[in-house]
Amino acid sequence: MKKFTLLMIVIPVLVGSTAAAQNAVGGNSNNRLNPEISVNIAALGGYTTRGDTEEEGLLERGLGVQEIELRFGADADPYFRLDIAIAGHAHAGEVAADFEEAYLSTTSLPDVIFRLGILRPAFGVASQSHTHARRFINTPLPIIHLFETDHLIGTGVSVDYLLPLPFFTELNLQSFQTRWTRSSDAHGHEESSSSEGHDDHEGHDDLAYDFSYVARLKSSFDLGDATTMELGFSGLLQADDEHHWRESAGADFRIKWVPPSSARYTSLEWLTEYMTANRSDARRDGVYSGIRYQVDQQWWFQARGALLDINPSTETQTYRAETLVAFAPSERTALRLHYGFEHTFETHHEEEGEHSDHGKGRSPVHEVFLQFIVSVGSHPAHAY
Amino acid sequence: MRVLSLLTIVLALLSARDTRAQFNVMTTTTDLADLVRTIGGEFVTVDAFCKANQDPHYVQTRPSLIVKLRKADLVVAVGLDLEAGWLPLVIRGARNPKIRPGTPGHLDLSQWIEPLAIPANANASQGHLHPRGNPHYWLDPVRMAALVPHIADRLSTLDSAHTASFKGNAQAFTRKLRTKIQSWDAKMNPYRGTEVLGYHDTFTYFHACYGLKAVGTLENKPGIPPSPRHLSQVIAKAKQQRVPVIFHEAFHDKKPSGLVADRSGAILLVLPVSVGAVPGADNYIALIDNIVDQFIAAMAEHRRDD
Repeated sequence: MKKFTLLMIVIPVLVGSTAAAQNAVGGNSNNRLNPEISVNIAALGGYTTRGDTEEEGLLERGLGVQEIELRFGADADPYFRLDIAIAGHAHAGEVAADFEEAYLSTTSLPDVIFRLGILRPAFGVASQSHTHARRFINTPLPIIHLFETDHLIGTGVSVDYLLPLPFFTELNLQSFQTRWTRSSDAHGHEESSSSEGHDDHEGHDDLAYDFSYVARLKSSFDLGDATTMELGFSGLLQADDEHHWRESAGADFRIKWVPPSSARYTSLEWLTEYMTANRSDARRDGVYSGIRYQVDQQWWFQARGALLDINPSTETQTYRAETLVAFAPSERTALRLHYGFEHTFETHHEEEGEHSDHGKGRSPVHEVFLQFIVSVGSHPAHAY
Repeated sequence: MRVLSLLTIVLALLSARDTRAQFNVMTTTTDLADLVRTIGGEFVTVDAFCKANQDPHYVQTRPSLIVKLRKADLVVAVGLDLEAGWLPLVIRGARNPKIRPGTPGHLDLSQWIEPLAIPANANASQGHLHPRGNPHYWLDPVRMAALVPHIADRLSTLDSAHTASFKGNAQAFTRKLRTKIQSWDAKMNPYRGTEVLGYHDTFTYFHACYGLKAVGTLENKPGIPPSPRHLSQVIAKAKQQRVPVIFHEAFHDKKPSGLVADRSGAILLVLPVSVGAVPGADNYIALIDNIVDQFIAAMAEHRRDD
């Protein structure tokens, strides 16, 4: 409820400020000292045969708001910049808003950027994307399942170091702490929840802390004027206040082709990410690979395949295939139609240590989403 | 431990190589690169973010641009928000305090430009507008000539040892450019008042410089692709007003302009917008020569067709 109140206070204030800032552009130049303010709204309609959506903002059926993101940023002085993103989500009939990011970063140091505040993990590619900037409407399958119980946004510090090499290589190191609520039911079973917790269960809530350490190394190579290849490796180490350790690692590979002479009309991107996570009970891994092809100024076609639990010794394997068509009337709006098919197979262990592929399948999931994204105000450019 | 030592040595060598480099200048467009190269001469190394045949509004922020800017001593920009969609991201990524806005290493040339087409009511419903005015001023050679001393001044501020060379080069280039301006004026004078169309409002300053009258653009609104209805209206206007030429930037979709040209009888002029975009337009003077010559040839062809 506190989060909802925060959202209700912040929206009118920021929307009002946005209008004021826009009207001021080109007029009184003093108003250019105002922060860059933007609002992004992702509205969603859809239907899924899944029993319960696993992701914030996605709905089982009908219409809803997937996310409202309020963002503002400005140089604070010659040395620091402040960036804040507040995201409001609706999930299971409840609306909540929280900081996605809120950090102070250095602007005047050579080679490095230090950040301090509420940070997203620099793990892989997709986990760093904001909802409105995701390549597909939902989160890639491995990320949802491998990190569903993790608390990946926290308060801490990071350093981004640009290595002195002839090609782009950046090392990101982060350390942050997340506060969350460990809920125990009347029988002593433990479950985690968001930082505000639930009020309607029997048992008790304890505040818990996660400490996360992230390292990411990313390199990029130009293969001619149009093509860029990127390679990234990420590691994530997390420990809670009861010293339960979780380790995750990932690798990503991306090829992007954008011919300079027709950059507004055609482009192709191929992104693949692999990730693995060790939990107290098991090691899980997953991979996804997707392409995005821009056919003209306003149309994109996309496809993505994902496999969860590549290791055949696990009890289940899940694969998902998705396709998306996007129409963007302008730079500030987009209509996206997404279809996804997902199937989970239960693998059988006929004898200990022996694996059979003749698993029975669970009911496949079909889902269709139509998303409308609107962006107003001064939104910063997204990274390449 | 050995690996760490080896890595340290490699990084140290690479860093040392950077410090021995010349005075490095990055410009946002090839036109500015040509001017800085002409003025800086042998004492500067110049590169441009934007390719010659690329729309400078939409430059992909490839990480290699960050690497280039990391080593720069000066960044020169067109300004008027032309690069607003990508340059701040590259500057921030470069982690080079020398070239941040507000420092001597950041030169926004629009500060000496009196902009045209400042929208009275700038908001996003009007398309991709530039609230402080049209940024395509580099296609006006008179305005560009006025910028030459400012570039020389900034190079001199940052590299005072070569001030005499920078000032001398700037004066020589200004003289050459002014001579060419007289020549272009003479060539274009018979066409003053000619009504023309454009795909985008890229040639606003060129039109103003030579008294051409733009009667519309093929884009519905800046950055918004032409709709069939809008194209029909443009075709009707082109026919009614007997518009002789359509100015078209080589990096834009040629189909709409070709359609209007076919239906209206106007000549489609596919023009270079920046230095190096077509063979022969390999410096700023050659670029304007190319545009002027193509326009005059198109006008002659249109008269023959009439």
